[in-house]
Amino acid sequence: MVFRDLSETENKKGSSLKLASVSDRLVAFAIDVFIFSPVIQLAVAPVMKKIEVMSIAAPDSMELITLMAVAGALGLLSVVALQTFFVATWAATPGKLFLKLRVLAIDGQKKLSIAQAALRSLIWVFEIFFFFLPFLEVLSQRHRRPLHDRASESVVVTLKAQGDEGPHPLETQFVRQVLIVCAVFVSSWVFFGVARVYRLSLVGNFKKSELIGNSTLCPQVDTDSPNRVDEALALYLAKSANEDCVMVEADFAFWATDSGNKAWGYLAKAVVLREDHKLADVYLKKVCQENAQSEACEISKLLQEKSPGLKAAESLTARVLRIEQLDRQGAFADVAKEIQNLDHPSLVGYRIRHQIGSFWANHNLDQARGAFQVAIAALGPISKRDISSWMCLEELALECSPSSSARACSEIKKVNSETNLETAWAQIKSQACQRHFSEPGLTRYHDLMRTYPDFATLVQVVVESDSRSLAQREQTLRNLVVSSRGFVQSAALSEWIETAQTEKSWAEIQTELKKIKRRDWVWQRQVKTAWEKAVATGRGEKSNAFAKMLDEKVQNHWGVIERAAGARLPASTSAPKKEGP
Amino acid sequence: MIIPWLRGLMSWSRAPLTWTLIAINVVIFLMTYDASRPRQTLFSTSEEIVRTGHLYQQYLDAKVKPSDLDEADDKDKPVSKDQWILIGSRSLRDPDFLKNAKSFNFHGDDIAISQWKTNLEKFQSELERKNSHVLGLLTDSHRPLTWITYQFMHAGWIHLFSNMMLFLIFGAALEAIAGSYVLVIVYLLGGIAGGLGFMLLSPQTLAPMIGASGSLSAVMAAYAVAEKKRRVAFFYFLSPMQGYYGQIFLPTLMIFPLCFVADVASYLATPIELGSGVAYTAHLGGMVFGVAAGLILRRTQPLRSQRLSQPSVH
Repeated sequence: MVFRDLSETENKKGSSLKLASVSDRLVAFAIDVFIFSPVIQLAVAPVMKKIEVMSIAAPDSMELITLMAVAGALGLLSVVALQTFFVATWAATPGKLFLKLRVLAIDGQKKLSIAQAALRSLIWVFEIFFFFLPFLEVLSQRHRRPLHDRASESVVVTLKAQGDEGPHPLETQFVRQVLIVCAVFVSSWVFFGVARVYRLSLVGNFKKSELIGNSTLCPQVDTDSPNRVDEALALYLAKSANEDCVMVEADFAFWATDSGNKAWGYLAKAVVLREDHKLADVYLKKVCQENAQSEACEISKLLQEKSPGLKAAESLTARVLRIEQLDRQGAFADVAKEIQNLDHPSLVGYRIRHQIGSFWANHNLDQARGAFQVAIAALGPISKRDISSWMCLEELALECSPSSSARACSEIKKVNSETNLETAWAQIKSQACQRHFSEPGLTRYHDLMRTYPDFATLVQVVVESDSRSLAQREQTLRNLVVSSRGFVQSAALSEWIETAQTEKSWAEIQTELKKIKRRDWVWQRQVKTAWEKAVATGRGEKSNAFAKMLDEKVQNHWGVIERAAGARLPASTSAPKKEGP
Repeated sequence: MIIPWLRGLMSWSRAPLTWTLIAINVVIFLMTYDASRPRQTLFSTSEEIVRTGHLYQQYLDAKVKPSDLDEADDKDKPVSKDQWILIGSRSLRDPDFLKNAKSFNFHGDDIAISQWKTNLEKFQSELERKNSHVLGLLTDSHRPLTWITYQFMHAGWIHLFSNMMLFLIFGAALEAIAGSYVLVIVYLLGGIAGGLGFMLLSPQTLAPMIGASGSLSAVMAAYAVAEKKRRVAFFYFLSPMQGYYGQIFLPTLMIFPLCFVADVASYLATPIELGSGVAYTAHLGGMVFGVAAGLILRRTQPLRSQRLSQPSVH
């Protein structure tokens, strides 16, 4: 007991009552829990039914919190009502009845009045909110009377022959110390908790989740967009939205009664599910069945390779696809023109990426670097990461030496967003060019290398270049080019071109370059590098072969570049020479 | 922990039919337990349940007359994914919907809908081959024999074990005081009453009802009413210290608040959309029959002179 018991009566001698033992009271409590629980469960059943539904339908809502508070209040009121009824009527709860215990008034040894019983029960319930700590007084108080007994002037007695002798002094001391420690701990916790809440409320950190992303549709799509699916699909193709965004918009287009955008819905699903070729084909065919006149149908034909290009490009998806198509064809000037008309808030990063790419492809390096510096300040972390990675790799392709210090490569280190393959490769190449690999730097890509084993092999080739023979390196790179796909294949091919020595390798490189259908900047750079290497190593025939891979437009384009840079193209006996503008 | 403690009742000689019924339950369980469940392709992901929700909403909308629709209803207003999951879960308890879905003309992603219908057909045909579906009690079932067979089926080891433990205690007790014939009548008719409770009070569902719970509830209720003045021993254990474990004698009527009031509460607290894995209505049906049987026993049949091994207190 922490404070002196002011309600304690003076004379207890000669009383015929025997105090109930703690064990009996505890067993009686356990039996009461068993008996009362179903009754309380019954009382709150209708509310619990609603809570179960709301916890799924609206887990963050005020309604759910209110319902839970109502259920709690009902439960506590039921406890108070039951205890009051039993104690006032039979001087005992069912558990106490079975254990032959009685709750009587301390003076007169009669049953408690309804008011006393109610007060006792209310304070009993109140003690629960203090983590049951006040109940510990039953162990320490001289007459086993915790707060609820003292407040209602009651005592729990037993009808058995053997009663309780009261607490041992050690018991009292122990409980007193426990209560002091708990009081200090709880007070500190409450104090610091209140202080923290006060500070947070001043700073304004209580943002409800409803304010952010409450919409069930894709948040990146403009609310007033007439064709949400088109927009979502365009963002997805531009890597500015994920597939969930597209699927949500497609499903909404399907389930809405106005089925005007169903064709777009089928197209969107075909694009997102393209890994499952069979299912994607089914969806693509469905697009034109749904609406043969729509632009979605045109796009589906393009994707099924049933048409060479898009006649009209009014939708956002068509415009993005056209830009990608022009980029693959190496028509950078046209890309620059198209990209100017692409003004969507979520496509800023995409637009800047292509603008910088166009400058770079046209050998306007200073303009590209200037645009990069401006963009870096304005873009979000993911766009910044992607553009920096690309720039870094292009800078290193121009000059890979210990003295090269591309700003883009330094920018990558500052980016905190999730690393992708391109970013990791850019950093590793940067370290390779500086002839310095730091172990912590490679360790951060451990998860990525575990997910993409081909990439891990590629990294190993670069990191262990000094310890491996040239033949081994070539063989590994060759295997990677043949077996892998996507970015790793392209990066492996670039490395292979840089290190190829044997005639067999050059022949295989030529084959691989011919297999690639796209004519984008990366491919052109690879062919040009192969051409230069072939010329530098005196392989005239091979250099001609690489030259022939380029069409007039690209050769012409390089003619422009070389003239701008003041250099000369290597002489090629059969490559057509065109005059520049 | 507080558990009933009926010593001496559980010997073969005192309760032969109880042990026989337990053995029958165990044997039938071993013969019919489907350890492998059908591959639930239809309802395995939240996307599929959301899709099912959309389809169910269309089905319900088609049943509502246009004049009953509120003008303010906006059918195109997006509902949250969680709400569609609720609606989808509700649809799984509507046999009418699942029966008519195959021929219903849904609108939406025709490819996904066609796939959904194929999956539904596969799921239903796999379900119909399951033993629980063949021998269990269905809300739209017209097979009379299933009213009996369902009482001997169980969903799993824990279901079987918990039912048989309780049946061993109360079945033996009832058999000791009223005889084997009474026990088997209460068991079987109680099970039928439990089935009736399930049919009348439960919402329509595709899941069959199995288990001896209805029969067991009848046995427990019959015993509690027939021996209402008797007190039975319960063993309690709160801690190994002296005074915190031992025996306590409680009236048999305690079974009602402990079991049946809880069943009523659980039944009232179960939302239709989510359902429950326990057929509380069968318990209640069995209990009602058990109470009636107990009252009849008290009036018409003198109880056997064989007494339980524990003394009657107060």
